[in-house]
Amino acid sequence: MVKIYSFWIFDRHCNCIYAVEFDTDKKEIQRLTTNSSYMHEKAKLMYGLIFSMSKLTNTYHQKSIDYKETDELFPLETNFKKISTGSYSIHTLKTKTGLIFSLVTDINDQDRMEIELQYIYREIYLKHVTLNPFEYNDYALSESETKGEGFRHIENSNFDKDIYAFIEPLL
Amino acid sequence: MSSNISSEKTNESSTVSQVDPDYQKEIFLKQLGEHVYQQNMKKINAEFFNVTYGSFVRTLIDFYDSDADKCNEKLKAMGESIGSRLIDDFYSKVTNQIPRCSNLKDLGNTIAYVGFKMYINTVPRVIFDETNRTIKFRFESNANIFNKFVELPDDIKEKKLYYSNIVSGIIKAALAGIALNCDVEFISDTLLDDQYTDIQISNVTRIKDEVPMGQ
Amino acid sequence: MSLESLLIINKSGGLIYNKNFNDNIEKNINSNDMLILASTLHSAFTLTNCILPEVLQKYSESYNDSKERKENEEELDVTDSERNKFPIKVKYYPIGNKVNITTNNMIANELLRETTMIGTELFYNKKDIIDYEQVSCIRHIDSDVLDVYFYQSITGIKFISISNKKENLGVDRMTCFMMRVYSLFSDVVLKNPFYSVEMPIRKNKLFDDKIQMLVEMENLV
Repeated sequence: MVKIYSFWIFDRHCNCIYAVEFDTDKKEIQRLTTNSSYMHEKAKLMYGLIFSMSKLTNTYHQKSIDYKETDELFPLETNFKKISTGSYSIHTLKTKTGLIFSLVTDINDQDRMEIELQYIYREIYLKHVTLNPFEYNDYALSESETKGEGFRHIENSNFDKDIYAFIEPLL
Repeated sequence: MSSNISSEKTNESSTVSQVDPDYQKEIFLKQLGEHVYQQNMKKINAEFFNVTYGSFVRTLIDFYDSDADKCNEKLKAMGESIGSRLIDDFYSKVTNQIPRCSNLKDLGNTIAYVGFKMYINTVPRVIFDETNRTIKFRFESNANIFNKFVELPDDIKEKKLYYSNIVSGIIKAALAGIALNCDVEFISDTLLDDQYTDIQISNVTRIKDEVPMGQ
Repeated sequence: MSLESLLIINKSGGLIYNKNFNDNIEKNINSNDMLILASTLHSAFTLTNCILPEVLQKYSESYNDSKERKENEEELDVTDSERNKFPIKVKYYPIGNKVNITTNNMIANELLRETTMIGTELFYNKKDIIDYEQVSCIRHIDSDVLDVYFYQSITGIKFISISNKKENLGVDRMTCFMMRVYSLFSDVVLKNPFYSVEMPIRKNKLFDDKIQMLVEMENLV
């Protein structure tokens, strides 16, 4: 049984577009809203950690297998799965379109959470966000909102409902 | 009977694989496209689709007073907003099964054998030009399902309206979704009395991954 | 064949020792790259502490410091069942991965006799080693090409081993391995009167050899 502490989605402009944090004791929910600077700060740190660690493992791997960048169109890609610390683990799923889904759970070495993340991407995100014509195509509407400076996020009550319905039994 | 056919196919691919791994990959992509089309895709009535798209283009032409350039532009823009959504749908349906593209030819084959097959159930011929680094998708006379039942009136034909220009927008935005920038355009259309319908992808470049501010 | 690099980082993030077991790494990474790698890994430790989930914040190391300032807040109330989750228990792996150390293995005996490595008499019959409270320290980073294992000593020295995916080593086994490296470090390096603390370990052939020996005994190279 896994405890879930929080759930995050980042888009390819390095912006956090969805975040929700759970309090296991009181089942209190902290969400990403436009005003909460606490979650925005935390999202930046979270993205920074995932970004720098995946970049580090990627460059190290390329050097260890003596890889030379030959084809600039299709570079070597590696997937970054998990950071585990003494008290919690961060599981990530990076899709080919550059979205990063990330679940923060307690430490449990057996659980990979890959199936859960794939499910969230395929069944919940796709249904309520990608194929919903009233959501943005791209959460950064102008140049100034790229590179982690954006503030728009998913505000979709059906999406919320499905995410909670999926995560609550796991709490 | 059907089992005979499939075993023949596998035999064929296994003998060819010793000669050409590219060909084997092509066959795999074809099978994958067929499989995903059969298993995962929801289908709608083709006539309904044609009539809907037809009345939609008609409305657009009326709106712009038969200005074909503006219509082409608008169709492409609409296609782009479709494509940026469809790419997520595409990957979520074929994930873990699709082999990684390693060159432009692979990219073309994947779009043709899996992408076109999944969404419009038609496989175009892929013509890859090594020197100019372009990919051309060629539909034979009646293969493009968008063109079914369509007879363009003469005045619009003269102004070169590409009736199914929405496809070029879809391809462009879908590739932008996986960080590939490119130009996609129609270069000929059977509706304009050309022999084939050709869609061309050119100038493929990679969009650099964004890094957060201050990195 | 799976261990590729071993790094030791001091408490301020400077690289004090590194050994590569892969020729390509030796060829492609210069010492400057290695320093950047070390400081990036060091900064990740700070980040994981910052993004600690709110539920867990009462366990963090810095929680009690801020406590003193705000006297009005409630006392830290950690029930016993919660406390039992930390510290983390690490399953004990003897040297050579489950192979009992035979008395006729000369190198192993020498290494064991000369140093106070964890895994000799003291822990021989125990199943678990209790790690001290590492609430927000990274222990393992998993990507589909690399595994990076961390062990932080209580004095703040970090041991990092980077391995490829040829063999699934497991966090516990690598923690045991790095504990042994720690004890080698404290024996061979810190007891040397000419070594100044927190400075890079240079030209210590003895330490180099013993690390190599240990890694071979653990079947990691």
